[in-house]
Amino acid sequence: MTQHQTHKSLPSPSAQPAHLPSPSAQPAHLSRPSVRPRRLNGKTSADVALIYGIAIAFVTLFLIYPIVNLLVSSALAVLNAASKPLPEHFFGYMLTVTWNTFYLALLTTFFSLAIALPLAILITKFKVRSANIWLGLLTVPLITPAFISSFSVIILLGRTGVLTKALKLLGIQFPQIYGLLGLVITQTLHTIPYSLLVLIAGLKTVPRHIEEAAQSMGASITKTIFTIVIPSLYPHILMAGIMVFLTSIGDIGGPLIIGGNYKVISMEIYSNFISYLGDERIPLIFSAWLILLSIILMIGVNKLMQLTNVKTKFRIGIMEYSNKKARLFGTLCIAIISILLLLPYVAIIIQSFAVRWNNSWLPAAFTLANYQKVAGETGAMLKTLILLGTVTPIIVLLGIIFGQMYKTRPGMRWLSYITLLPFILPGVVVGVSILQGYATVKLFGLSLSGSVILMIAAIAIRRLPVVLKPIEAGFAKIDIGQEEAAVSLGARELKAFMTVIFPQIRISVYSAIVIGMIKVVTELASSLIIYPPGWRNMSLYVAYYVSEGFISQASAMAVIMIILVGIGTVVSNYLASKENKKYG
Amino acid sequence: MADIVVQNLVKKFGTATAVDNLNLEIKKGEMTALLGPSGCGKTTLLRMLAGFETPTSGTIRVNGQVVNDLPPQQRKIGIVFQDYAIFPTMTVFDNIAYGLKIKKLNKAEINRSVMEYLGLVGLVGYEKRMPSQLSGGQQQRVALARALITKPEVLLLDEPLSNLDAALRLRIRKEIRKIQQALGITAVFVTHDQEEALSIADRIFVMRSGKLMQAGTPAEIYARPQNDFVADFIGKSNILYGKVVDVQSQSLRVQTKGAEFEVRRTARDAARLGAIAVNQDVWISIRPHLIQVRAKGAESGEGTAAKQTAANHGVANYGEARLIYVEYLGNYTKGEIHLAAGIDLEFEHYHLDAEHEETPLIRGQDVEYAIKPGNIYLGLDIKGIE
Repeated sequence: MTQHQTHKSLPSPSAQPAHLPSPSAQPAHLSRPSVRPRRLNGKTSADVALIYGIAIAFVTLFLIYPIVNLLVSSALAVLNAASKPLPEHFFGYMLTVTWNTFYLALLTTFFSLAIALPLAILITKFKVRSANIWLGLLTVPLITPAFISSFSVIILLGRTGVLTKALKLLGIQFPQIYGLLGLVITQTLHTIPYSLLVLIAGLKTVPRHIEEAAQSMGASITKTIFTIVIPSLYPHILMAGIMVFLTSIGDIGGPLIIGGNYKVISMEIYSNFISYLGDERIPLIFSAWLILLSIILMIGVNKLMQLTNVKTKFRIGIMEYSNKKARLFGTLCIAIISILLLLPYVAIIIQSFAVRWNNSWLPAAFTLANYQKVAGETGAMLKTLILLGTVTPIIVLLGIIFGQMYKTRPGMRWLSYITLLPFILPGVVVGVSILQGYATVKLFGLSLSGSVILMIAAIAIRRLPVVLKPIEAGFAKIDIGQEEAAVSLGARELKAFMTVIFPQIRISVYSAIVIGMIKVVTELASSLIIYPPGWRNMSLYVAYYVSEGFISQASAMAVIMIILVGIGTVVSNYLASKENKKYG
Repeated sequence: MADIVVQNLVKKFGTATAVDNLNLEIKKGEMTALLGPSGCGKTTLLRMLAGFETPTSGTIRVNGQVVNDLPPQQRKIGIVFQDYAIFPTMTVFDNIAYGLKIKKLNKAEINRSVMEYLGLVGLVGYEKRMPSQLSGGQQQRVALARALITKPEVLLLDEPLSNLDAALRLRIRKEIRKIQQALGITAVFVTHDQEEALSIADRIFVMRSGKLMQAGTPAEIYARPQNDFVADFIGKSNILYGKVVDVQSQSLRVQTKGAEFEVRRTARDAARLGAIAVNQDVWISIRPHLIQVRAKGAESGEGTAAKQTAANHGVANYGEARLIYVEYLGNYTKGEIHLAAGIDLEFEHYHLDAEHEETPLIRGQDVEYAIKPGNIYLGLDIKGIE
């Protein structure tokens, strides 16, 4: 396998799950939307077959083949260990790293849920003051790449961090942040908003009447919450839990920046992949191992989900309690958490204007030089724009094609598990699999590994589920009968789609475009593995600056990215609200 | 068991008034129906009885004690919702046992009690099922058992039959009524279905826009509606508005759209209506089944004689009409007749005599009709119909 020689040891990729700016009410990320299994008609016309064929070919080339190839290569590596021995104590080392990864993920999941669950209940059930404003602020960590959160935590809590200094004044010696502690802190902080939004969406589906029934039988509010509300919330707790767990497993920015000597799988894949000294088989075997673990995890969670899933046929409001103390307490909690979560971003903004900021309350001097320097890097902006212009159309088109396919061809729905796969796989693994699959392939005499094609393909595959989901949600609202009606009136399927169906999903597609763009801009984990020489985009630049110690420049670039992504989110939310108004 | 007295009750949501100065009494052991179109405030009233809403003003007394600010936990109520509100994460057994567990009864007692109430609602053998494995009717039975097991003083039923299909609705209706009568429990039943209210209740409160339109037994409400709204809402009826043009001791005449109807007066009417003057605005109600319709020329001495009388007096009670709409329904035929005066009336013709079936009513044919003066109901209180 070809090692990527252009890579420096860049700290900071991230494999954040594709969390969406607006939470969905259903924990349906993993289960397909329930559509009546009906066939549009027996035959597929040539034009439609061609379109489906192209979409399936893309997924086969850049997802199915690379993953299968990776699994086979790593199996061979293990089987051939007799002739070509693996490094000493390899399996023991693998077990340790696996345990580390899972231990960290469990701790993060536990703390994220333990903080988010009570907070979600306080917010939704006790009419917390200006809850929407606080939740709005919490979307900042939600849309920011995890690697930016990680280095911002260092600004605050690192050896020379301002919070470390503050705690010292209070007589508290903050323990060494590099290692498990730092990882748990950054990952927990980063995942709380996600858990919170999923749980709040879940709480909004618990119908008022079941709580009223409990109380008419004498149950107190506390008793009602513990015996009725929380059990109804299990699917959402599970959903939030698995997403946090997968985020933690896929995170590579955290381990690189703040992980110290705490070794986790994705980090081991990355470091062995870029290093000359690394054994080329280690990233392969670890990637395959991570794929298997992720898939097993997902199957298990899906099974559990089916057991706990509660379908409520009736849509009525939720129960709210007027308890002044709980309300005040809730307001206080959400305020503290929001401020705590936003502090790192304040630090980034200050840092971006700083000349030097070490062991002092504020930087020694302020300057615009960082922004001037960053603005000079027109190459990074240009590369980001080119990626946006290529990847976004690809994934949106694929999203529409697969959405329509899953809606009208029940026989093809098994494929939806495959198009969902990149959602649960760490970005590093997606990058490794594509590079491994095509490293030696030449197109018109040019090595594919040196061209930007693989980078575009990797980002497209990784971000496809993020775009597919809102589009599928748009399709789910449409009765398949409409298309059948159009076909019965003599329209060809393509014509029926363009004239009857597309106008109804148009707004879903718009928000998919915006979400897709945000996710393309912030993608890092797979591009870090796969980017060819000269293709450093904005997120890679941030990572590069951090690794080189140019924290102020990194901050300036990060601030620009956050602003861009923020604008995108506002547009996306505006579209979503417009869509809700249109179709009630 | 309880007496519920509601006095001057008002509930406002912002500027909207859901319940507007309501006064009513619910008697011990009775099944009371709160009946009205959607948005009439019946559910809001029920929720105030349950303690889920606090009255803006006025009082609710249970057994003489004001309960306005008493939380639902302390009210000794059982409640059954339109959407069943079964706890989706618990088995049938756990659902029914919930109230007893809250009361911290011992296990043996809970088991015995749950089995008893499972028997009462006919669900023995279903105790280990999850709600998702039950039909709507079964879920509603679980809800009923769950509400009754704590032996509440009042059972509140919030449109409990609305989500069931037609056949099941009739069955569960009968079951609820039988159980209520067997236990002798005070029950309040909210519904927008007048037939449901008539069939199940001892006493009905008809509401509209937060106000009480009429209170009474089903027979009172049906036979002697206080105003045009109740007459129209309870059972089907033809409501016509007009002026009194002639008052006699035994009868009076009402002119509507140029036609004059003769209406008989009885002693009871006199007590109900008081003095009636010429030119007074009134409404009249003619129930469809009280209009006799027969094909023109069909032999019937009485009808023809009546027609002759009518011709003499010039009233619209008898005459010829065009049949403009017909539905054949087996035991009866219903339809609309178009009177010469330009009035359309709905009628129901019951097939009480097999021989008459030989001359079916056909749309477009001319028919003879007769409305006896004693079958026209007259009222003064005009509320308007929707």
